[in-house]
This record gives sequence, C-alpha cells and structure tokens, in this order.
Amino acid sequence: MNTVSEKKVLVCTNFRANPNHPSCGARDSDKLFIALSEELKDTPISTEKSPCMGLCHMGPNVRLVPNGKCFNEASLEKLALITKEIKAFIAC
Amino acid sequence: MGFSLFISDLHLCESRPEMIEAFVTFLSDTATEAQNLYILGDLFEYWPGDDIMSTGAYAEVIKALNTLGQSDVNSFLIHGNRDFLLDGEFSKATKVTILSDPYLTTLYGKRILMSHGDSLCTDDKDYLKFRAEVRNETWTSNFLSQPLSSRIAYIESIRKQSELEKSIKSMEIMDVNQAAVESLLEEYDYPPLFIHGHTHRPNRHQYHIKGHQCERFVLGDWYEQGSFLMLDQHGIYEHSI
Repeated sequence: MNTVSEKKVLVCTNFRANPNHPSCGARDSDKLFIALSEELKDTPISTEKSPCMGLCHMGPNVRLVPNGKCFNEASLEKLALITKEIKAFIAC
Repeated sequence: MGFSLFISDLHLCESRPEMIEAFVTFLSDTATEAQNLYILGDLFEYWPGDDIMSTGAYAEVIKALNTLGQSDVNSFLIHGNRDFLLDGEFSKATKVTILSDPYLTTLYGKRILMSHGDSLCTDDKDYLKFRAEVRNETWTSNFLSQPLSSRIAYIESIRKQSELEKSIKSMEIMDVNQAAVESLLEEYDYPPLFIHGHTHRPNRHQYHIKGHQCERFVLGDWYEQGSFLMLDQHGIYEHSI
C-alpha cells in the first residue's frame, strides 16, 4: 500500500534543441510545472520536474507516480481537468 | 536516473513496411532518450541467418539500430522463436548485445527477470518438441550451411504449417503455463518484476507466492499498433505508439 507522501506529480521539462525532435521543454512545460505547483500547493502531493519520459512526440507529459496516469499533450488549457484527476489520484 | 524501454513481438517483415517505419521512428526518437532498450524477442517475422541483413527492408532496420548504437543507449536483445538465429554478425552490425533467455538484471534498485516467453508455453508439447529440435548447434550448423534461398523456403513452409496448427490449437495451450511461470520465479528467487512477450496478450499479472510478491508484465505485439513498456525509478508505464 502506497502512502500519500510517496505520490508525486512529475512534469517533464526535458528540452531537446533539435527542432526535428519535439520535446516537453520546447512546448512550455516549465509554465505548466509552475501552474500545477501553484494549484497543488495545499495538497499532500509533491510536484517535481522530471527528465525525459520517452513520450516526446506527445508532450508535454505529466505523470502520476507510482502507477498513476500519464497525461499527454498537457497544457494550461487542460489545467483544471488535470488538477481534478490529480486530486482524485491523491484520494485513492 | 533515466529510464529503460522494453518491446517485443514486432515481427518486422517486408510485407508490413508501416511497422518498419514505426520502429525506425521509435529508434530515432523515443529510444534515443533511454538508458537501455530491451528487445524481448521476435523483432523479425523470421531470421534465416545473419547473411540476410543487407537485403531489402532488413538493411533499414539494421542501420537504425546501428545509429542508436552509436549513442549512449545500451541495446539488448533476447531471441524469440521467430528470430533465434540472430547471431554475432547482427550484433556486430547493430551494437545490440544478445542476452540469454531468461535474463536477470537489476534496474533502478529492482531485480528484473526477462524472457521471450515461449519456453513457458509448456502445454504446447508439439511446439516444445520443435523448439528442442532446432535450438541446438548441429541443427543450426546444418541449416546455415544451406543457401539463403533454401533457408527462406524452408522457413516459409514451417510458417504455413504453424499458422494452420495455430488455427486449431486452443488459446489456453498457446498461453504460458502458470506452474511454469511460478517455477521460473522460484528458480530466480522471486524477482519483483518479470517481463516477457510471445503470447501477444498484453497484461499485468500479480503473484503472491510463498510470501513473495511478483508482477508479470506481458508485452504487446506490433501488429495493429506499436507499444512499449517504460521502467524508471518510479515504476512502470505502458504506452501505445
């Protein structure tokens, strides 16, 4: 059984300079990280920047660990929906 | 700490160029960010010997693996039932290390057992008999001494026979035998994670044996769409391409 304190939100902020290789960092995932950190500051889950998750073509990627969902093509526009699902993840 | 990728059962062949393209893209994009790439068997639909490497669509795959091999990514392969003749020349050309089956390693502090999985289908007696016949040095040496065209013709005939047999075999016979799985887990002192392919039945199975907890992941094939399993310090994540 995992405790709440072990749960994390990982936001990939990996940046790939090659324009032929898309990356979360190049798609403003830093802004998403800041916004998610703010949204979740009063919850028991920690939000962390993450290295590459191997899903660059579908980024920005936000992953819930352990064993949680991975949000692909995450964006500020989807922030409310993602936050809602993260809160459900915290509660489960 | 990075991550490792696991794939199997791509069954790459000239008749499915879209999957060769998907795999080459996977190697040139997703895989370049990984620490390790583990190919757990049946990368190719068939492999009549390393002298086929330079022909047709195979050359494209070899080139892409070689390009990945020039990077910091470590690539490993376990033989499948379709490509168990992959050998030293392939390894040299691609910089892919061929591992024994099963293979136990430790990644991110966790012991992980890997296999293609065909040897666990112990209910399929006919297949195991065939496997024993062809997986020995005498058979291999005799087979590889034949011209490439003859080897391909032989494999094609075996494949047709196999497809016919599969159509009349029950699904249960072609799945892994639970006792064989549990015996393997016991032999390797109950690794918490066991990953294999072969059955084309992607799933996640939990085992509680003699006080040990093990998870068995079955990888998906690359027929309708590609898929991979990613492992890092936080756990496992499955993804379809």
